[in-house]
Amino acid sequence: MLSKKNFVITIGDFGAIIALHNGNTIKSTFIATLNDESKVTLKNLFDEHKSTPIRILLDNLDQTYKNKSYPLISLTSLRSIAKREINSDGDRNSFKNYIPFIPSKSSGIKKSECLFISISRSEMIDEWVKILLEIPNRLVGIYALPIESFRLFNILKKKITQPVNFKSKYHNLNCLIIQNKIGGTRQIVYSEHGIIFTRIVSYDITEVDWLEKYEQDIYSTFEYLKRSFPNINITELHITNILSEQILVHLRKLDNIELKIINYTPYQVAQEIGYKNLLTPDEVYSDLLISKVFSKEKKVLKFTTPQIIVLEKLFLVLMSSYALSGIITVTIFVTIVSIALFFGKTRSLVKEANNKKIAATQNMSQAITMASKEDLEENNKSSDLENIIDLGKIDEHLKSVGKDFTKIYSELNFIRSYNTELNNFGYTLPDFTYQNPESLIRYTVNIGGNILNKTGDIDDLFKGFDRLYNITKKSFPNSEVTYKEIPRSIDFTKKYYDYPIEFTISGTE
Amino acid sequence: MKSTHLKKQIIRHFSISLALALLASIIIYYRLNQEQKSNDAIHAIELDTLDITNKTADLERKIGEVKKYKEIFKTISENRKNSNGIKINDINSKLEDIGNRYNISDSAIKVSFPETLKEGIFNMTTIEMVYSSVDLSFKAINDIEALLFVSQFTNSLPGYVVINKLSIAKSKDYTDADLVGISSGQKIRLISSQVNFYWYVYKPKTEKKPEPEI
Repeated sequence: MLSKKNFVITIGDFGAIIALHNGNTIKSTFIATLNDESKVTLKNLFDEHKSTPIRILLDNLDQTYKNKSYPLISLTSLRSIAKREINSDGDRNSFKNYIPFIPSKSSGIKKSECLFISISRSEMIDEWVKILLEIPNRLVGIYALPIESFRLFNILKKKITQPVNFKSKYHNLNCLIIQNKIGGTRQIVYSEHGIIFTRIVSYDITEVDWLEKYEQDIYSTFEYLKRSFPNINITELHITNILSEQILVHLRKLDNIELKIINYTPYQVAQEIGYKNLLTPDEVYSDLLISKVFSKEKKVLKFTTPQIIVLEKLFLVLMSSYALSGIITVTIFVTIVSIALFFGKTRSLVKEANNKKIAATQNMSQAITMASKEDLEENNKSSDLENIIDLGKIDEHLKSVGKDFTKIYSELNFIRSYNTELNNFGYTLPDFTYQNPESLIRYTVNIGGNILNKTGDIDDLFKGFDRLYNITKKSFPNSEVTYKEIPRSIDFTKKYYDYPIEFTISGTE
Repeated sequence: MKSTHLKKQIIRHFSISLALALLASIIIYYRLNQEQKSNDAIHAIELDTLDITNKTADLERKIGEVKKYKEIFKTISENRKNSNGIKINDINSKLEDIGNRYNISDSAIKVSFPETLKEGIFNMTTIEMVYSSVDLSFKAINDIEALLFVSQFTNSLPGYVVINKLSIAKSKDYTDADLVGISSGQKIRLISSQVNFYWYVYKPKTEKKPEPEI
């Protein structure tokens, strides 16, 4: 399907040449008339290359080229006008198409042009088309040889340096004269954009005056061109002959300084444009040269028939099915590759996960071993461990809640040495909550009694009270000691032999 | 090329496309299914690993705790480990017995209905803790005996006792008559005391939880 092989069938009034192009090689068959024998030959040829597409190149006599001018309009508008004109034409049996031309803004040309081409369908052409539609090969389309020869001419123009005096000032028109086996000798006139017109000419070199006829044909072509290009000069028409050496020998004798002529043989052209082995040096005709260039270059204008259009649409659908199959095949391939990669990745992920699990299990084994070493796993009685934890936690919290009140009481022994009589002793845990016991909790100790004052003097009472406070504070250095003060309103004239005291000691130890 | 031939080719190739699409769907489904299975397998291994890691961490935590609490556990007296709950009869006998030892009179004890503690540190796996609030009042000859009585009585109780409030007060000074009475062998008790304490005692767990795996 992607092979560059293709058939080009050049059909003219004198027969057809079937050329199988494959790269730079060519295999050609000439068929003068379609008969049973030639049909068998064709069948055998096409059966060998069923998947090779076919293009028809018409080189028949009856080809009409009609140029029409329009106001400067868009290409879309020009195309729709051209299509309407073709559809309104009464001639339904010809191959028809058009080449639109919209000048560039910089050219200064104020009109659009359209070249209408009409190629008569002879019985022979119809029969060829019919045969080609029946064979398994794909018939791509029908093309006109004069139009497609423009590619050959362009290649030739780029390869060959034209003489200096060929440079035109205003117009750049070229007349290509070729001789084909199946179509005869033909003049094709090109502008820079493509074909202008073509016509068949006939030269018999055995006639004495054929050179004059050649000149007359050039001049009559020039006169025809003057209708479209009124200011053209004969020197602005460049003539390129691709003719046999026998003809060129005579043409070289032509002594007309007005005519700008370059002569080539088909072999010389083939050599110049790179097809070294295409033709032999004594080749007379250009059929194969044009066929080769046409097979390799971009096509200019395609003619078609309703059957070919239907086949093209079906072919497009077929190509879509190929593309669809291709996409799905690629998807399958990519998916299979991704599955292979996925399995590889998954294996490594599973291995990694298993390694982590093994490491975790080893850690656990170490922990169990450690537990065994610590005698924590005796006979696997986990309940014993739990019981140790439960009882240990409770003991940690409850064992040392509060303060040993007997110890506090014994520490208060110094009070007797400070002339104080203790009447009451209180101990509380003001912040303790039984639901949430804390070991370091604040305790409060209240002591109450009477401080004795032997002299009754109030100063001695104050001094004794201060000494008692200081020793209490010193005895409980980490606790806060507060007391109920002797009121300032005390009667200083009165004797106080004793006085009530009240101390509060609070702390967390 | 005949249109019938082309149509046949189109049908054939679309059929091939359809078959390929079916194959592609099966392969893609297989791919997704395998991915899901693999993810599930990996997830299962990861869950196992997480479970083992958690259990290891739990075991290590327990090892740390047990190391710590094993030392504490050795120091806990059997009386504190007692898990028989609160027995009122035992209390009364101890009160009388220890009271006689320290010349205690007019002793009265009030024990609140035991309450099972289950929150915070009392949320234990092997045993339960019951709690009662106890109010004790008595009279003593002197402050030393009063304090020793309270200390010995509370220490004799099973479990843990936290004294919340304690007060000792001399109700009056000794009169001459009191002193004469004392010299003749009378026991005059001028010290009155009020004690409020919280009493925590273990009791066997009523709802047995399944033993954790190690």
